[in-house]
Parts: sequence; structure tokens; C-alpha cells
Amino acid sequence: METILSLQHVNYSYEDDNGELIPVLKDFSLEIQRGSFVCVLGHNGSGKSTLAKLLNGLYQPDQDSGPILVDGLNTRDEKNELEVRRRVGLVFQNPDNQLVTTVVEEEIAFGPENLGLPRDELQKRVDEALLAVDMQEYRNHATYKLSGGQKQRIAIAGILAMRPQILILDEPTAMLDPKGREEVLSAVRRLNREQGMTVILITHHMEEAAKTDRVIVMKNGQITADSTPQAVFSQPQLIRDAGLSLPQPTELTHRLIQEGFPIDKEVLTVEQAVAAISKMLKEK
Amino acid sequence: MAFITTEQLTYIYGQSTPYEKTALDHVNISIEKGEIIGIMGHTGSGKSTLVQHFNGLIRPTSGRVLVDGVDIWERPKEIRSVRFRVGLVFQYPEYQLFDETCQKDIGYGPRNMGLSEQEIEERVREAAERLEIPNEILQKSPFDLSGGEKRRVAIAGVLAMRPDVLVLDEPTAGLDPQGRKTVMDLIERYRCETRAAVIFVSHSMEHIASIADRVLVMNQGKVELFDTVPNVFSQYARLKELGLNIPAVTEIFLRLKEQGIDVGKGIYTVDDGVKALSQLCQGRVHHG
Repeated sequence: METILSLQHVNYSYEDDNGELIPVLKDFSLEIQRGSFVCVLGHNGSGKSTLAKLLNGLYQPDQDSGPILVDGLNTRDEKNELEVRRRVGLVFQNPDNQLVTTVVEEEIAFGPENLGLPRDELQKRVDEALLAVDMQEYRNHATYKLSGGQKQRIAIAGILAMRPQILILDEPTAMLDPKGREEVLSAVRRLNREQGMTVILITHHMEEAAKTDRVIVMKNGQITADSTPQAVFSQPQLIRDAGLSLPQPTELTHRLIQEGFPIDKEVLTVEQAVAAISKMLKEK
Repeated sequence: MAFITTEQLTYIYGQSTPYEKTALDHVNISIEKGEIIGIMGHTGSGKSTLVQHFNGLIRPTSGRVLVDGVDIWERPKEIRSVRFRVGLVFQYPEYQLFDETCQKDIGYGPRNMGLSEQEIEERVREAAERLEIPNEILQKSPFDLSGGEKRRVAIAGVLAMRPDVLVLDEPTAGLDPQGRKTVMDLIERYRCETRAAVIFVSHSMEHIASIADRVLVMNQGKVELFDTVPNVFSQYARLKELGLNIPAVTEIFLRLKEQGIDVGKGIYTVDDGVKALSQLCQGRVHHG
């Protein structure tokens, strides 16, 4: 598969109040394939959000850093700045901080309007974006009246209208109730499956990670695991060391293994746990 | 006797404007000392509006809020004293840190209570210990801390008032698993050591199931359910309708039951699940 994002030996540090350099990412290398659905996990302060901001050029790596390539464009190159931001769409935690207009349709048109697109093209993009997040009926609604999950989907639609190649979501569900969380995640999953959108999901919710293609675990600015969700979550010690936890179905089966039950250890979801337990009980 | 009681508590936002909205609609609940109450409900169900009534931050449109048997709005000028007894930790409380050092920030509440310097220092130390905040952090500016550290400092600022009731509005939102565990452990310990009531709002069914004595489910400003963990989480269909959920482990055992594998009711935590399966298998050995 084709590489769409590449970081080669990237360093990033910031200066604190005393003028001291605090390293966040150290010799950080990563490649992400086009069309993949990648999850980034890590404790608060592990460098996840810094990574997101480096990828769309909001932050620039240190002078001694290796390159960050977005779809072949070096983010350091000033002439690539706008193109990089257009190709990498970023969605943040708090939907209220991301909405700028009062009507759904205007909100989604806000970005592409600034590109100076003709009216019918603008309309087409708004229609497609609304459809992609399943919010067509809300076209003329006031944004402030929407629920958290709906607001977050409008924020995503606004990004989609810019036709990005990569969608990065930084804890998009942290402030949402269970229904809102599911709405947002299923919209994102659909974008990935049906439109081949490359998605990077940063989250503290392990059950969200369980439903992605690839899980990257970060700890103190470095990658400590990078594999399928099954492989990553079958290492409880590694997960604990990174300050994380297991999805509850996985925790249950791991505890059962400790108690001597002969149960399949590659369980991530409720469905898989049900199947594994019923299989174990039949064989006993 | 109940420590916090609401009687026909009703609150209307923007009354007599086009934006009028009934946020709380005749809410009647009472909470005892020493209880842990989990509050859940969809966005806009009235959870935050409700908890902001407990310490008199919002005045009811109608109805009453009683703390320790006294209507807190009987003497509106003394409402401040209620805020010392009912400590409220807002959503994302770290946005409200303001002082030069964490030490001063945590001591802000006790200082407003008019306590002596020695007493303030003692309370700051105690609150910092409860939140596992090391000494070197106390001397730092809150703005130099990580998100998780800021959250703990903000909660410590409320604990330093030693409230009889600790109210937390989504205290774990945005925290990593380790940070969530610290906050959940704190809630249990604070209840155990002080016999205070703890009321927390959460979207995590797992957290509520693991430590709450009773669960309050809000829906469109009304009390939908207010009952024990088993009595609430056994109503799967109703919770789903309300946009809520049940803990993943509860769902696993519910589905097993649908397949004819009955390991008994009342499984709300991983511990419950392991125990139930162990008993089931032992039983099989004995009988088989």
C-alpha cells in the first residue's frame, strides 16, 4: 500500500517559561498507509496531540529534525503550508470551540467559501459532507441547538468539505454521551470504509481503539507498540506500563486466563467475548 | 436522615423569552450522608443544572433544595456557607485555576472560609495527599502542569474545604486511564474516610457500576430512574432508548443468557464476571 504520511527521525521540543527546552518527540519515525484507520493511544502528555499538530503543519519540528512528509509534501517547506492544511483535516475535543457560524449549512460552507469556489461547487460539497455524516435533515438548523454528537459531526463535515486526504481526530468523543460517541465513531468508520479516507483517531477510550486497523501506543514521546488491536491488547503488561487500560471484554478474558480458564485471549469486543465464553463452556 | 433533598425542584432557563427551556422539571430526590451517587443522562438532560443547585450556584425557579434539613435559600445572604459544605467540582475544572502557585490555588477555598494560616496549610497538605500531588508540584504555577495534573490540583482545591458533600461534574472526561483511576479511587476513599456523600456525573457506565450505591438517570429535566446499580442496569432496553448504555461486561453476560448460558444476574464489574464463571464451572464439576 501507498504511504501517505511519513515521519523520519522527527524531533520536536518546546521552550518552557524558564527558557529550557522540553523534548516532546525524540527520534520519532512513523509511516501511515493511504486508506488505513489508525488509532493512537497514550497517557496525558505522551505527545499524541503534538503529533497531530505536526502532521498538519500547525507545529514545525526542531531544526535538527528529519522530515515530515504529507502526501509527499514536506511540511517544513513554506510554499506547502496551505496545501498541507487542506490535505490534513483536524478535529478537536470540544465541538463548541470549533463551530464559527450559527447555521449548519453556513458552518460547512465556511472553509470552502474561503477557497473562492463557485456557488454550485460549494453547494455540491456541502451536500456531500452532510450526507457523509448523516446530517442532511439538519441543513438549516441552528448549530447551537444541536447535541454534542451532532455538533461534532458538523465539525467533521466542515473539514470534509475541504476535501482532505487525511482526517485526524484528537479525542473527538471525550465530551460526548454514549449515543453521541457512537454517532461520531460510526460516521468516521463509514468515511474510512466507503470513501477510503485515511483516519487517525487519538483517544483515551480503549473500546474505540479495538475497532481500528492499527494501534500505536505512545509513551513519553516514543512508540512502545505498533500493531493490530488484537496484538497490542494481548500484552496487558505493556498496556499498563503505558498508563493505559484494556477494553472491558479483553480485561475479562485476561482475568479468566489468570484464573486458569482455557479461553481465547484475542478478545476485544462484546461479541467476541460472548463467542469465546460460550465456546469455552461447550468444550469443558 | 437525608442530607440533601430537593422538593419539586424546577428550573427554567430564559423564562419569558423565546428561548425558554425547562431544564429541571419537578425533581424530587434525597441523598444520605455516606452514599455514592452516580448521575447519568444524555447531553442536555439536566444533569449539570441539577448539580449546580446543590450548592446554591443556581437558584430554583420553583421548589426547594434542603441541605441538612434547611432550605438553602431561606437566607440568601448566607448562601456562601452552603458552598463550603457542598463542594462542587465543575466540568474541566482546570480552566478555573488562577493563582501563582498550586499551593495558593488549593488554599483559596479554605482562605475564603476565614481559617487560620496554620489550618489552611494543613488542609492544603491533606488535599494534596489525597490527590497524590507531590510537594514540588505545589510550588509550581498551575499553568506549567500537564492536563491530568491540573485536574488533580483543581479537585484538591474543593477537597481542601472538607465538604460534607462532594459533587463532581464529569470528573474523568478527557483524562487518560491512569488519571481516571486516580479520580475514581479518590471518590471511594473520600467517602470511606469522611462519610461524606459523593455525587458524580459520568458518561462511563463502567465507572458508575463500579463505585455507585445508587444511580440517578436524568431525562429531559426529569428523574427517569433513581435506584440501586442492579435495578438500573437491569433495564437495558430503557437505557438504550435514552441514549445510554450498560457496562460492556453486563452486556456480555446478558447476551450469554440469551444463548441459554445463565450465569446469574448482577454482573456489573469484571470481578463479578470472573466470580460468576468460577462458580458456574465449580458447580458443573460437582454435579457432573
